Amino acid sequence: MQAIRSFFGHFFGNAHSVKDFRIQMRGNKALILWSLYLVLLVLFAMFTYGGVASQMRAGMSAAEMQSRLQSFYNTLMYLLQTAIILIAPVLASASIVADDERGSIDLVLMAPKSSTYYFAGLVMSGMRQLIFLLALSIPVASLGVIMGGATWTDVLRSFTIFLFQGLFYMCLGVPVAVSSRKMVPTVIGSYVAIAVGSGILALMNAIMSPAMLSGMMGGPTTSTPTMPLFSVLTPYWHIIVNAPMTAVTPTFLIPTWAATILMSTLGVAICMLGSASQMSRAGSPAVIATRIVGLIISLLIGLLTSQMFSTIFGIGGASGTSAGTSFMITTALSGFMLSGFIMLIIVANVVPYAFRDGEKYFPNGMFSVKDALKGKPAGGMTYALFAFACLFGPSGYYLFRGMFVSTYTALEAFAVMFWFLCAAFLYFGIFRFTSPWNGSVKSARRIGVLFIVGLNVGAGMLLAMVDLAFKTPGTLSIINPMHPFAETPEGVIAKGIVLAIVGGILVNRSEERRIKHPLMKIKGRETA
Amino acid sequence: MLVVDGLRKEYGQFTAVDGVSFQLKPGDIMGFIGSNGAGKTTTIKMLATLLEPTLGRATLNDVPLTEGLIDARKLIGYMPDFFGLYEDIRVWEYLELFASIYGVPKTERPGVIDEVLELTDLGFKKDAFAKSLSRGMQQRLCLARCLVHDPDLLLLDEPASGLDPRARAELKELVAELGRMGKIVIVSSHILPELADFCNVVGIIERGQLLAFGSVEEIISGIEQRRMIEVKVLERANEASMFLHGKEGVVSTFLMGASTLKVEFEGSMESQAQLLAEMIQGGFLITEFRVDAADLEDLFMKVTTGALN
Ligand SMILES: Nc1ncnc2c1ncn2[C@@H]1O[C@H](COP(=O)(O)OP(=O)(O)OP(=O)(O)O)[C@@H](O)[C@H]1O
Ligand SMILES: [Mg+2]
Repeated sequence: MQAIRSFFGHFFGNAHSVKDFRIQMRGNKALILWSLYLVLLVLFAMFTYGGVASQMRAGMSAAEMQSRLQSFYNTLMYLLQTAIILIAPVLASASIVADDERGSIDLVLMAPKSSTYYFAGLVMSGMRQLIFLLALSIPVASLGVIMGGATWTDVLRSFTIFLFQGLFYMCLGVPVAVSSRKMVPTVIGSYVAIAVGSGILALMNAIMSPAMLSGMMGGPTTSTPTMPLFSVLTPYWHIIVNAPMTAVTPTFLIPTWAATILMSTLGVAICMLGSASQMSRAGSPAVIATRIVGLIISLLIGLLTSQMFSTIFGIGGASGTSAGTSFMITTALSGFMLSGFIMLIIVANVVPYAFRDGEKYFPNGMFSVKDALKGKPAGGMTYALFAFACLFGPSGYYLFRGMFVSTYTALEAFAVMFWFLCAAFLYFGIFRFTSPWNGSVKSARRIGVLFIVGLNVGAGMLLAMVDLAFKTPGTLSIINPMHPFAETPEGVIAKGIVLAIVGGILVNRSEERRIKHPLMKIKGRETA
Repeated sequence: MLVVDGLRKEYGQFTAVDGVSFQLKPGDIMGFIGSNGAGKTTTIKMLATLLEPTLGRATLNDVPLTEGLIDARKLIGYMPDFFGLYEDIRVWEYLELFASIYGVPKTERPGVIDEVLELTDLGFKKDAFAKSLSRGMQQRLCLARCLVHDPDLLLLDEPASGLDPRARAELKELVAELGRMGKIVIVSSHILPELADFCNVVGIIERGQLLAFGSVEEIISGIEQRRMIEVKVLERANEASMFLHGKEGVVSTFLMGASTLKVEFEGSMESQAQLLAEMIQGGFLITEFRVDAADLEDLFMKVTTGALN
């Protein structure tokens, strides 16, 4: 009961949100902005509506008229989506940076409340603005309904999706703000986070949706248009597809708005907790909660990917066909790219350490099971292994059952999973390696990410260039160890071994340096 | 009772605070003195739970302050060396925000806000915008903010910087009042004389090390160094100067005008008291007898340079 009350206390009557509300009600900056927005909306409506109306008079067919009206409504939705994308990311993050610049963040964070309370306050203030923005658009949207371009259900669904997408975009900016604490990098970083995030989700959809949505996967052949689960957070996607249902698995459909709420809630939770744990010390509730939610999300993604596997290999309930065609394997394994990307994010967050950034990041060892959830660098590898198990384990389960269908394809799939494990170990080595040379965790992390991006892009470019010079298109890029594709599964496994060896060397070198570091020798400090 | 035990803070190879230990009891007002970069803010932030110490711990009434416990924060009021006031917010709203996040029940908040405003003499500005207050008033508002939850320990980081003499005097009076209310107060400053007259305890920190801790008199006698005593007499200044020559601990005397003389003195606190007694016995009408404020500064320099060599 107490826990429930405190949970709702975070969101309703939150002191920070009350304060923000008072501030928002003052000053005419906000008023001017909102009026401007309203004027723009009305102008848009007048022009588009005028165009449609004049064409209607010119005696066109009913079907054509219907599609014009539809397009009026859709244009409005594009406009709203754009407004949300532009406004939402900076709503909360800008407040955090402003709070940091004026110093008030220290004052509120030393109150006997968790930092998630502070973030929840910001989110509620941001929500209020988003609701306001959507409410202002109701008159124009109702025009679309009255004229017959859409129904009220459509409007309600779209607005729900907008609101929760906006909430998610808003929260994406929060960890960026907390780690950079400067206005320009925060604003740019928030937009980049959305662009990269939705870019990857869109890519996943592009890869998965043909397989998921086509009848050949053994999915339901309903007449209701569906969209894949990941795409509910991708901007514009739901306007394009306009599908009322979302495929959680090929056989399990839920309404798109509900899927958006679900995905957005998970996203918001991880962003809020992640930001809170950036500011908390090792072993605090925020850190532990973040790590647990991280595993839950990993597991969810792992389960979704495994559903792909099960249908492709024709097991796990669905009446699949055509197991073992190379195209299908490639498709499914591309599904691992999302898992691989999540893995990289996790490793980048849990592995780097620094002697300077306080006890939380003090490298007290290499492999500690008891630190895995506490957030000490020594638990980094253990946590990464847990995450790997969540992301790839469910697919591994199907994989071994799939062996009975076709040994060869199972070997192929195993090879790629092995490669991902090795790649994760390489990432681990890289971040361990960049740590003892760096003053802060942040710079260790940044250099590690640059290194990995450089490797991925650089190695590919280099090999492609050599290919070009020797006129052997595509031959050498097959041996690029940074890609899980090769002509044979054995080739992929060999690439994985190369990555693991390099990772091992990096880990070994960095450990030598860490142990020699003078700060490791101070008495009274735990050195596991 | 505040017990600070071996607090240490490292930033990489650099040690900002190096094993600071001391104890304070309720009602103590501690002047925490050190030059720029000495480690005052770092120490205070560790006590305020904002920084995690590398080693060491601190407890307030047996509650650990350095272990990241949320409840420990209810006991602490921290006033940093900046204000952190929001735009477009009124004085009472600002206090209400902090009362709320410090867990003051909704019904009690108006009363608490009025109380702290009265204590800090800001009652008449209750509905003003916080940003429109003068610097001194903003400082008092920040102090009021620290008081809404009635903390046992107050950490004031350079509260007097940028204040005019009158505002300083008012601030001192306010801090003294907090001491009388039984709170432990730690006030940091660069300047010893600024604090010497209302702090009962002084801690001098330099390069992260607590070089001296105790009352001003204890520190002076601990060092046994030469100091200037300024003596004011109603009349016969010349004669007093002659009288002091050759007395125990007196190195030399200088006549500074018709009624003021300066005595360069080297000796214990007892012999200093003895000197005053003898002058009174000698029939001199003494209006003032004190260690020169400029000399406290000198004392501070001596304590700190001693450590540097
Ligand atoms: N985040 C940090 N990283 C590295 N060094 C730091 C950090 N914060 C403080 N320091 C160093 O610690 C030392 C003590 O700083 P601190 O702010 O405690 O001094 P101070 O006594 O409050 O000085 P001032 O009188 O100027 O306020 C300084 O040398 C400072 O450079
Ligand atoms: Mg300072």
